[in-house]
Amino acid sequence: MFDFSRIGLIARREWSTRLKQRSFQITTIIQILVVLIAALSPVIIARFFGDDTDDASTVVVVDQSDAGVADRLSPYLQGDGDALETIAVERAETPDAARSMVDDGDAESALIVTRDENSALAFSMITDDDWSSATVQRIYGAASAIAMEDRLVQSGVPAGEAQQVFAPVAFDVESVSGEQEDTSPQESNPAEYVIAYVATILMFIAVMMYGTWIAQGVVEEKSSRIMEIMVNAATPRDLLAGKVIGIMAAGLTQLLPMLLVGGLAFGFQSQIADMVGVDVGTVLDIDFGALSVKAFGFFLLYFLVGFILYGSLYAGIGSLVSRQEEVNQAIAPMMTFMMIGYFSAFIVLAAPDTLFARVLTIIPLTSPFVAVPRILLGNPSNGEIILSVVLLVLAALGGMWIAGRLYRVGVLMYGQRPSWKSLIGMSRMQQVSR
Amino acid sequence: MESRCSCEEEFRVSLDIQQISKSFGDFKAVDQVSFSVKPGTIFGFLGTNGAGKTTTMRMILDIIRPDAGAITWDGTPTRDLPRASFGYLPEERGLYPKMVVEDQMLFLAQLYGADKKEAQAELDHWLARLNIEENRRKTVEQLSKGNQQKVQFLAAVLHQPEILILDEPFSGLDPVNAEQMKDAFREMRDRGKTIIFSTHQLDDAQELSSDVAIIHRGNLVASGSVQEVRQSTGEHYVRFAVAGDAELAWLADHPDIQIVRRRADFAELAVPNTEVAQTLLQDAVARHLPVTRFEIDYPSLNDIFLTKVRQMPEAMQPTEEELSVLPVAD
Repeated sequence: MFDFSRIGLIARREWSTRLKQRSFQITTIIQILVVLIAALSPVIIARFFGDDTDDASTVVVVDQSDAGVADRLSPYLQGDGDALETIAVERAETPDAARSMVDDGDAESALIVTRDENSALAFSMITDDDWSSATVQRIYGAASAIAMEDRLVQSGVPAGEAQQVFAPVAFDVESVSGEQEDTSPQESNPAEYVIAYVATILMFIAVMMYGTWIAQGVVEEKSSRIMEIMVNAATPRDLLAGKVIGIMAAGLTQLLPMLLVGGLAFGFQSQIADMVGVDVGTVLDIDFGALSVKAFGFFLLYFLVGFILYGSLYAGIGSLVSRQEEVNQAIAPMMTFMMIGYFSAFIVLAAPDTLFARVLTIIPLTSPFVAVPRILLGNPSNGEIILSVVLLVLAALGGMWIAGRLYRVGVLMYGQRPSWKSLIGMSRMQQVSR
Repeated sequence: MESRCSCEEEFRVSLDIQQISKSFGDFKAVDQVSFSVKPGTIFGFLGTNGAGKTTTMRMILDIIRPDAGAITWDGTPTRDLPRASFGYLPEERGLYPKMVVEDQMLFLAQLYGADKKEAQAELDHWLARLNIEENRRKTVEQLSKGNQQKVQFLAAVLHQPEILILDEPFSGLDPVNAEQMKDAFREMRDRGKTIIFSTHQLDDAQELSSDVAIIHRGNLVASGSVQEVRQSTGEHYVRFAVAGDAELAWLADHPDIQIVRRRADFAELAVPNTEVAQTLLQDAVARHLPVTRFEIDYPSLNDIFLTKVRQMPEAMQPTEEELSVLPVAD
């Protein structure tokens, strides 16, 4: 059925022609750089725009009141072991020493404690932050409690009782969304979500961009009139297969280095962060390796098969038009299916196990966009994945068959684009016999 | 060894086009056309624009299939022949504009199934033969129009096909390049290849080919050897000139002689037979006219075409546009 040496020859020409194009080379390099920057953005932000200090903040206390404020401050500034950080308390002898510690970055703020003429405690804080800062708020709260406790003691209340009154209050913050939080993909595994999100967008852009290359290439061969020699030397089927495979190879040549560089940069983020001496936190500290291999494998599988399906259709439809300006209009009906798949993928990203997600994972025209997010974020059975892939493979073969028919009609046809109705008849069309 | 029918063997022609028809919708592009092409010859396929030449050639190549009829090469349907059997120069020239000549030629030859080394050797030969060696590493769009056409010819021959199908190979070529192209045809013929070329320049065919077929609006007008076709109307032409008498008004006395056209220094006369021609010469001598040219010949293919077409029904009469492409229609 197929002449593989011819297909290989055509595919190699498509591939090498693309690779020699200056625009292809520049785009590939720019894409790699953009992905590298995006993948390393936490490190870059921390390195160039972040504080030089550690995340956990430190307050330097200069206690000129003899009230032992520094010791009493600590219990109020304990973290909860989760989102709330502990603010460390250090001591300095003089305000100047404290200020220089802040200047050197050893502490975030300094708190100078004195007694005013009424012998009440007075606080003065030196910091880059303002009142909206959570750190300032917490220190203010702690300082208020200590000051009031101090007033009570001065007015004769026994120290123990005063302390009990102002002991840190049990105050727990719970999210409104409650337990839903646990199943939300964003919260459960941010890296998984990010990868699924990127895979969805990348799949759509890749299929659309490289598909358009195919359609434009076919129209170019028609308008440069080399098509007639090509259909004499080879069958339309071989021309079609060679074109799709060649452009797919060129696409992978552009995509794979980008994914590799981005994946490595993302995966070795903490090591890279250590090398440049910044801390990017624990957000991405997960088993990235196993996850990315799974994501990459499924992405590649769905891209390869899905692109044979869509790429063939792009070629078949491209063969029906004679001018580049008509390409977009001609592929519009097919783009509708791609759009449905693409936008549905975002719904699947938010809720990966709904019936909607399950159905779209199985339907071949949408599965290339929906399946990867569902596999990464949801819980599809193996049977469902196998069914999805098998149907996509069958659809790809069917797509090649349909495209082959269109190609036979279209490649030698110039002028008015045929209506879809007349295509179904096809008998009136001039078509290539092989 | 014994053969089933030696007579059939003897008369069997290599490329046999039998009663082929092709319609596109209501338009009958080719209507029951038959002709034969002998192997190792140059065959001219003639007709005005839109006569069905390209459609017929595409059917020979099995790019499109006839609705009816058969096309065989040595008894085998052409559709069953390997693609490398054919070389094709389409009427609408086409190559990848931004691809280097050498790379492109080797790519196309390999696409036909040729071995790369052999194609390379052929390429070297033809680049030198057609004086376009310096264009080897240029892209097609950098070439002059004439050189593009030569390269297009290379695209048809590098895989060394048995049958060359060349659609309007001379259109757009200047005389020097056209001569080089004709020499290239003859070289291919001398290598034993069969060459079929179409043209509306019927005089090109007369000069180059041993056999021709003429079609008009999908119908065969005439076919056979150039001599046979030129003699097919039974008419003779006389190229005739008398010094100092461009008018030749006295020819009115000869009602069976027609002035077909007047050239700068002679007139072409149609005569029904050679006896009438002799009468003409005797009359001129009797009138003491200084005859400077008297040459009896058969009508050109061009005139055969016009004569035959004018004998056809009203609906088949050629339009101004169809005639305008003929070189000497007046």
